[in-house]
Amino acid sequence: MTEHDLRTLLRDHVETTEPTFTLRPADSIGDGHRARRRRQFVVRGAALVTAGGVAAAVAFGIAGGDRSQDVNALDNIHPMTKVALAEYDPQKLPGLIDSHIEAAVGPYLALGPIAFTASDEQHAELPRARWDEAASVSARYGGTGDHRLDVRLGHSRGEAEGDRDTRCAEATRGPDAFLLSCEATTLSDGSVAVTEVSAAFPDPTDPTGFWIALTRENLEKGTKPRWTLDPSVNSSKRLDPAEIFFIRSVEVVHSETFVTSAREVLRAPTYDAALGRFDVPVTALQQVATDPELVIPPPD
Amino acid sequence: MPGPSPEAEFEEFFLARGPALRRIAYVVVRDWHVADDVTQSAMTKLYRAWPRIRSESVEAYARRTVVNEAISAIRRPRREWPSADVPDTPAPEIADHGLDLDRALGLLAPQQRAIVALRFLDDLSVAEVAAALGVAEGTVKSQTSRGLATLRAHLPHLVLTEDLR
Repeated sequence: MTEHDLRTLLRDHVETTEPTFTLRPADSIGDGHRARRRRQFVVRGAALVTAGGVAAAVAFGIAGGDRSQDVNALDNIHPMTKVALAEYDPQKLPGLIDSHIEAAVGPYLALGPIAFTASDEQHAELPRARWDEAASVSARYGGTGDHRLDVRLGHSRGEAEGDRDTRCAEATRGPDAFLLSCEATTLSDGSVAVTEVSAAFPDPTDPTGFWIALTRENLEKGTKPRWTLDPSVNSSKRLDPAEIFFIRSVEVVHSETFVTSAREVLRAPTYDAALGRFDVPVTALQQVATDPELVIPPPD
Repeated sequence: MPGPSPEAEFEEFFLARGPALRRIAYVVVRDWHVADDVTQSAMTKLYRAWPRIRSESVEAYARRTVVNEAISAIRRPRREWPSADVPDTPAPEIADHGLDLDRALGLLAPQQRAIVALRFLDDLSVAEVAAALGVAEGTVKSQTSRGLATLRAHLPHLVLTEDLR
């Protein structure tokens, strides 16, 4: 089957089954206005922190449709998180995040200046004036150098869902394993911390700096993933040890949507060499990822 | 003379591109009712972001939003349609090859279906698909390759049908 065949088949299939388009722009406009008013209420509500912290729970993405089921969840919200949400000012986030990361990681790694970005739900970077619409924020240190630190706070149901033990087992199994190690731990407040080590190399065909994951087999055989071999680029299938980066991360799932991750990234020729070069203890990464003051409200 | 209002611009985009975006959603979720929901929800998010999206980025942003909404919809439990919502016109019969294609598409991962839709329904280049989805071009190439391999493995007889015409 050629690509032309698929194109014809796909269009034929879609066009013969497609019902009349009856969606209305007015409905999206109306829903958009309502969502904006709802978010304004939630953020203002978080400032009115009651003894039960109901508003904070809603703002933190914990409260779902049935409020009565969230009573236990309310009790698990750290008091400092409630205060952080009540005092939330997106313009102050870079300084806040930088100071907290410096306190936890500074003793182990020279961080340098922070590179801060805020992004919307579609991962599009937001201008400063719209940081209040952020679904995620990230703090990066080390630029494109050989030793870096990345911290990310974000709301994403897709990233938060899923059993971590199952994910760890599947991701470390067999020669196609894309994680070299993975361990999930339930913390005292009910959140789940996952510590992982993985390997990757920068995609040479992508100027935006995406990483290509390396499996255990790739590392053992010294080869790149087969699908990365682009004939037009004339790239080698041999993996140059100088290209390899190892990432050790701690990710904490705080709620149905809120996930925080802190990761150390460094260039090393082998897994064993990387383990000897990681400077930031897992405990320090976990301290950042569980910091109750590093929190943002959900986008809507 | 002042230009059109943001609402008017959004309405124009909605009506012009809505049907095509819904087709992308349909290929991912494989249900026209769900595709309607996904498209409406994506358009709401697009409207909220409208003031800060550059005009040259609207199309890529809209595609990305629709794909993300479609993939999220797949993860949510499928709701049952009440009888009042059942359309009174019967659904069009799907020809055999359409059922085969639909089944074959069901074997792809949601992101692979999205990439197949963008590349072969919308005729986007690898770079345009990568920009639309916010992924690396290498990811688009690998997912396209794997998706086509799966489809080829399950639709070989359709080549024969084409050749007999």
